[in-house]
Parts: sequence; structure tokens; C-alpha cells
Amino acid sequence: MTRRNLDRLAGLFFQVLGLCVFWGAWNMPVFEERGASIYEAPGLTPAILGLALAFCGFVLTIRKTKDGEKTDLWGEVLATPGHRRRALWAVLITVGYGVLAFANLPFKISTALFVFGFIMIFDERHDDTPINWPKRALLSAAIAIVVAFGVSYLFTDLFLVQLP
Amino acid sequence: MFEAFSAALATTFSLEHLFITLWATLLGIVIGMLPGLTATMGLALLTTLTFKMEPSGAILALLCMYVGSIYGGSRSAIILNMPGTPASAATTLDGFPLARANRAREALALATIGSLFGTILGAILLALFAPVLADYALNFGAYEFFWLAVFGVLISGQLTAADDPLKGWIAGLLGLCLAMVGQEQVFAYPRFSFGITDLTGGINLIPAMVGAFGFAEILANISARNTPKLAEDSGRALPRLKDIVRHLPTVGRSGIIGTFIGVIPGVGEDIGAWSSYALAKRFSKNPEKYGKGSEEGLIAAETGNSAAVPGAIIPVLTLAIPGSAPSAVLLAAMIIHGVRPGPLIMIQNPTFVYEVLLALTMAAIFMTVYGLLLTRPLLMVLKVPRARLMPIIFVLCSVGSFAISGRLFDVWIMVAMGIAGFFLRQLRFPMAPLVLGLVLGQLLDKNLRRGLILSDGSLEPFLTRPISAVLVSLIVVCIIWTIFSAVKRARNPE
Repeated sequence: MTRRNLDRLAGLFFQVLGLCVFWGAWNMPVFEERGASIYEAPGLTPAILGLALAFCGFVLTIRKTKDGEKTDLWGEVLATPGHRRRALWAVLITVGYGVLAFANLPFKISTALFVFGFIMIFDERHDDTPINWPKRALLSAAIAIVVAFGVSYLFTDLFLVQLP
Repeated sequence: MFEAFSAALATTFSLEHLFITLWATLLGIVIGMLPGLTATMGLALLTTLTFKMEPSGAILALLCMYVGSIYGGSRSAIILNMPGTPASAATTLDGFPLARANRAREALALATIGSLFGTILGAILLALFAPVLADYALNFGAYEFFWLAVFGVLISGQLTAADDPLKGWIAGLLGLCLAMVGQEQVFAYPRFSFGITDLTGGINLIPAMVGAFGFAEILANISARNTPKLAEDSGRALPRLKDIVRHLPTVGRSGIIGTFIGVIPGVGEDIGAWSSYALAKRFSKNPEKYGKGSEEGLIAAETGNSAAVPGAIIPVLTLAIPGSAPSAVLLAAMIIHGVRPGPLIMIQNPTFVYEVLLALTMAAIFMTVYGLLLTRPLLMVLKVPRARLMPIIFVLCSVGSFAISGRLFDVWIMVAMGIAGFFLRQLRFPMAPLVLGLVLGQLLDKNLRRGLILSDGSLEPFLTRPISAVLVSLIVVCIIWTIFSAVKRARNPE
């Protein structure tokens, strides 16, 4: 997808978001029954910001850029399918830990599993030799255990933070 | 004044505070030198680790982390050609060519000296201008604070997305909209909370910043998969005195410009470095050497980004408005620890201002010692594979966000902001204005409504009071300039 098309999509998104913010602000109470002035209305500032965001989104959608048709916007990090696959895996595994495992499993177990899985998936080879999976698993497990117990000790025993 | 300074001196040179300076500066250097770990992320994570510390020790640790991490970025910029933090991007231009010419250690030492002078010069300017600015800010009312918030978001968007200011402004507006979530200050009405109890408290700044800067960076690093190659660690370890003396005019100029760029709300150290670099090139007798291994260029960039650190702290202390993204975290940490920055700080808490000043100076001295004497062991850190480091950082991001108030909701905010930040950055939306918007949203809302009530709905005082008029003029010039440049670019694409 070209830079210009992605910019158009993003502009459209910000227009919708800005209008939603404006609509939400418009429907907020004014508290006139308490003798409040219109200028005290809770929705005043968000309404202005929503309109400003929608306007900027509109400009982003309609404007022309000098190299917009030629440049691939995803060039920096998500250039190839391989990179995109890594990004997807990274999102899945981190969200899985941060949103699901962190809340529902004991901290040491969830952290050890996350660190182990992350290193197993993403650790890189520095030459063309085949991956030595048992060695990688051993190293990942060692790091996972040290991190799980180390972070738990740091926060619960030293900083007195109750972890999930 | 003398009593306040003596008290600050006694606190700074206590054994406990010297020990904090020792470890926090080193930790800052290590975090700054690792590509993917930024100063903002380091400060946000350290804020969560310093909750239980007494306030002056906690703020000292954060200041040392700030100074150390901005300097640490130069290590990887010179050795790997990868800036450890965005503030060191300009350092790569001449640092890496010097390293490739078997002068890596010399480049590292010159960068260290530049950072030392930059921080010290910035601290001196902080000592001179913070009381003046605080005194002047006592005249600020609702109208001035409103325009200051607008100007901060606008100029931050303008300068952090120089190629495309519209995206910077959109990021700033997005941050301001996010700041509207939660109970507002007049009627305690929960805005945009959709009946979710956790949202009525608003979006906590620290998890949002850990997500936008930390988690987003982890995703970008893991997706990119580029294995860095280290340059040879060779050359002189200590710079020659005559070289230092030769570069003193560049250091002075870069220190002053870096500090003043740092003062501009939400702009930060990277712009400080680029501005200093550009100015040094303009004044140079050998501009053709820039980008090919110019010592002058290297020193200018490093002095500029380090001087921007004290510069960014000036508005934090005197106006409670951050000069950069890391200083936004610092501001949040100060408030968490019960310090109230703002125009009254020189009257209510002058000792604190001097403590900040001395902390910056001590951090700069410790940083120089580490930089000159521990080059080889520090560079070992760069050999740690990032795939093994990133999960540890993510665990700290999650635990740190949770630790602030023991709410899982903050971890979700961190994750959501991280994913949003990752995609926004891929679409070339800068993060600094978003964060500044999040910080300044309440200030803008409160002062707009207060100003309108005071003037009974009239916009006249917003436009006619002297400071307001200056700020409005700057905002109008900024917008017209951007539109003019965009039209010019569209007409002449080449």
C-alpha cells in the first residue's frame, strides 16, 4: 500500500474519531439546573478538540504529497512478509502475557512461560548453521527462571508490591 | 538563598545520595546505550521502582537516569551506527565514520566531553533562568496558561514531525483527547468513561508512556530483525587537552542552543542535537567534513542533546510544563512524590531547585568518569542479543504499570498504548506531541473554561493581554508558516 493511501485511511480514521469525540461531548450535561454557565460545560473542551481532530484528519485525507504515490510507508519495520509475521507474533505473545496470563496465572509461572516462549521464537542466529533447539531451549529456560524469580523478588520483597 | 543552597549541598553530598547518583547514572547509561530502550522508557520504569524511596532520593535517581540515558545513546550511535535513543541520531553522522576510521575510543571520549560540558552549561543556564522564568510566570493567569498549553502541543507537533507537521498536530490532538477521559475538575463528571469504573480516574500517564515508548519500541525492535555489527574498539581513550580547547566555541554555542531548544515545550533532546549540529556546520571552517567523521560535528550533537536535558527541566520546575517526553515523566514523578512544580517553586521550595541543579552536575561528573574509564565493559552490554533482552523489558513494563496502583487496568492501558503507538509510528506520527497532549490536556481544559467564565464568554482577554497576545502571534505564525511551506512543497515537488 502506498504512503498516500495509508495517509488517506489514517485521515479517515481520525475524522471518524474526531466526530465521535464531538458527538460524545455534545451529549454531555451542561448542569444548567445547578446554575452553571455554558462556559463551564464539561463537553466544551472535548467538543473543540474533536472538531479540530476531525478537521486535521480531513486535511490528511485530501492533501497531496510529493512522493506519496511512490513510497511504501511500511518500508521501515514492516517491509517484508517475514517482518510482518514477526510483528504479528510479537503482538500476540506480548498481548497474551500482558492481558491474559498476567491477570489469570501466578506471576512466576506466567512470566517464566512468556520469557521462555519469547526467546524460543525470536532468538536469532548469527551465521548459517542450523538452530540447535535443545541448546536454545535450555538457555531460554534458564533466563526465564532467573527473570521470573528475580522480578518477583525485586517487587514483592524489596518494593513491597503485591503481584497478581 | 544561601541557606537553601547549603541545605541542597548537604543533601547532595550525603553518602546515600552519592550512592544513588552512582548507580542511577550507570543504569541510565546502560539503558540509553541499548537501541530500543529510550530515556523516556527508562524514566517511566524507574518511576515505578522508586515509589517507596523518599522523594529527594527518588527524584535524584530519575535525574541521573535522565542525564545518563541521553549520554548513553552516543555509545551505540558511535559503535553500532544505531542511536541508543532518538537524541543521539545526529551523533551517528560523524561518530560512526570516526569509529570506522579506527578512532572509536577517541570519538567516544569526545562525545563524553561534549556531554559533560553540555550538561554543566545547561545546569548553569537553569540556575540563571529558572528563577527569572518562575518570577515572570507569577503573572500568568488562565488565559496565558491556556495558550501556553496550545503552543506547547502545536510547536511540539511542528518540530518533532518537521517533514509533516500535520501528523505532529494530529498526534498532539489525540493526546489532548485522551486527557479528556475521566472525571473533569468542575463537576466531577466522568467524561468518555462509558460506565467503566477504572476509566473514571482517567488515563494514568506512566502506563501510557511506558506503552507508547517502551512496548512500542519492543515491537519495532523485534519486527525489524537487524543484527547490529560493532565497530572496532580502537584509538585514544582520553582526549587531548588541545582538542578540547579547540572545540570550546562549538561547545559553548551548542550548549546554549541545546538548552534553549530544551526549554520549548515537548520538543526535546533530539531537536536540541540536530539544531546544534546544523548551527555548528554553518559556523564551521570545514563544513565539508560534516557527515564524514567531523570531530566538531560529533561534539556539537552531543553537547546539544545533553544541554537540552537541563533546558527541558526549566519549564518543568517553573511552569509545570515538560520540555521533552522524558521530562514529562519526571514531572509526573515529582507530583507522585509530593513535589509541586510551578511558578511558586522558588518561593515555596527553593532547596529543591538547587538539589536538581546539583544532581544534574553530579550526574554529569559521574557520567564522565564512567564514560572515560569504563569504555570496554560498557560496550559489552551492546553484545547482549535483543531477543533475550526485550521479554525482560516487557515484563518490567507490565509489572511497573501494575505497581503504580495495583490495577490490571493500567497494564491494559500500557498494552493498548503500545500497540497504538507502534502503528502510529509506522505511519510516521511522532509520539512526543501525543504524550505532551496527555500531560497538558487538563491544564488546557481547566484554563479555557476558567478564562471564559472570568471574561463572561468574551475572547478579548485571550487575545489582548500582553503575554497571551505574544503566544497567539507565535501560534498564528507557526500555522501560517506550515501552510505556506506545504503549499510551496506541493507546487515544487523537486
